[in-house]
Amino acid sequence: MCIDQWQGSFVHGDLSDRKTLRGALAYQNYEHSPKHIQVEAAKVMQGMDCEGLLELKKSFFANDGQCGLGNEVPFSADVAYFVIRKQKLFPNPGFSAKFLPEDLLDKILRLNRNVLFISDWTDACGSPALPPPDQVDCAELVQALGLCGVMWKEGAEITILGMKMPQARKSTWLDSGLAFYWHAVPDQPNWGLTRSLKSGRPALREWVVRKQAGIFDIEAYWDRKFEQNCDLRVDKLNADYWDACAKELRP
Amino acid sequence: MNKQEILSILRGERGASPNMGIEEDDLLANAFFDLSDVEKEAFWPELSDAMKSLVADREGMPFYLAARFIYGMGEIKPPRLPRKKSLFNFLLDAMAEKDQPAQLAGTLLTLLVLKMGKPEFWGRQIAASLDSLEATQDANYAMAAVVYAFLGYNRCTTISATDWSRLFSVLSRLPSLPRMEMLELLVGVEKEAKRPGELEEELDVGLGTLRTSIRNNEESTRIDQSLAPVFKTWLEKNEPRQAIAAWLSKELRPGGAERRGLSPRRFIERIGAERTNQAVA
Repeated sequence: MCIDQWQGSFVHGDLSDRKTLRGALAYQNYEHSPKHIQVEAAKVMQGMDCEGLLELKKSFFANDGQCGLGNEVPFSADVAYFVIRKQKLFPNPGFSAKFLPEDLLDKILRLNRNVLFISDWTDACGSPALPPPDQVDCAELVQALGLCGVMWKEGAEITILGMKMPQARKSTWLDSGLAFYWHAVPDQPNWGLTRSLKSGRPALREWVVRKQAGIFDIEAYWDRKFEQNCDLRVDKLNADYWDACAKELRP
Repeated sequence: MNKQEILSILRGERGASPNMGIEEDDLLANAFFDLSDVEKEAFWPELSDAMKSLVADREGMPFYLAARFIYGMGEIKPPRLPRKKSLFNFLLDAMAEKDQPAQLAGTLLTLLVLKMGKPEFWGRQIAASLDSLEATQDANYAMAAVVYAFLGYNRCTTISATDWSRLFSVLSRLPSLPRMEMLELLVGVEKEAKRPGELEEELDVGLGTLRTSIRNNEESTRIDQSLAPVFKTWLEKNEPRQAIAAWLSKELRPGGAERRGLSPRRFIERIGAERTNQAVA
């Protein structure tokens, strides 16, 4: 079973081996999850391809009943940002229209996902950690958000949505699809933290909201383009990332 | 990278994680970027074969994701699109059925990206996509297909009043108007229209014909109410050229649709429609 294998990596594995390190990170996520998440995760992992999961060659797509199970908390920040590759909203090889933000709601509700990962772009202390959406560097943004597994090429477009909601949920390991690169924050009940794919260290406060009408409003959006390539595939993450993760597991 | 590997990715067998924003076209792009230049050239015939298989097996979503992958390759710098467009000639013959909106949307998106298809082809797609939207009420893929069909035809020639009328008619019967797609359609058509004056005329006659054919005031009001916010956003945020801007301003004026003057062509068509309605009554 995956958990037993990963526990071995966590306890006495050679963390200079990246495959072992990924397993150890996954086990830490399991260990640091609330009991009800551990139980559900263990059920899900019966018979799963452990190696495939760690290398993002296999996946687990949490269904509606497995998502949004973290603590529900009042969302008090001024704005929550949700970032999405623009082509997922509407691929259009022509002129792009400008909309009212609320015009995007219907499209967001039709996305192929059950939860939206959001962040207020502040750090663990609640201080702004990134420039505003019209100025932030796209590569810095996606690294800080921990959007692992994708190669972003120069010219690729993202849309950043500014949203408001009265409540949100702390993200769980299930929401992430049992990702090794997700970061549990066991001491903090009210928010999670992304793990920067550049530094390997905790970066931005994050939550999830269910992708349902009435949960959030879209108040603004920004279309941005990557000005350089940014490769965030698992086997392309830099040494600093892996070193920081290893030090976190074995200080 | 061969056809089977491509199919495996598109069918979701290789690590997509939608909640984290990773879908099958992202994974295909990841794999594509790792190929050498020679392998990239060899990739396109394999993708073409994979898409043929998906059509044959009626796998609409994987097919659409393949199309979205191609679109993505057109957007990056530099674009990485197939040199031999003939590999995708089969799309010009593969007519998706009404209940296959994802396949139709994928087909038209691919052809739009690759700039393929003659006017007659795109004209047929307007009818086919509106049939599909009417049949499935699918605001996602069927509406996307409608947008692509209009944009594709618009590249060749002016869209007729009949097609505009049918579009507005079909849209009026959807549970809710897909505003984002509607704006993409209108803005895209206007920006690429070679003769904005003709576009304005065809839009005006098309919408006017629809209004004339509707006897039920409530339904007519509902159509106007659902289009008004779209027209307003088109005018105020998308800087249409003068002819269209003037038309939109008149449309948005209270009672504007009734008060505005008619060109001779519109007058004749309106009289014809009124006489037909009277004969039917």
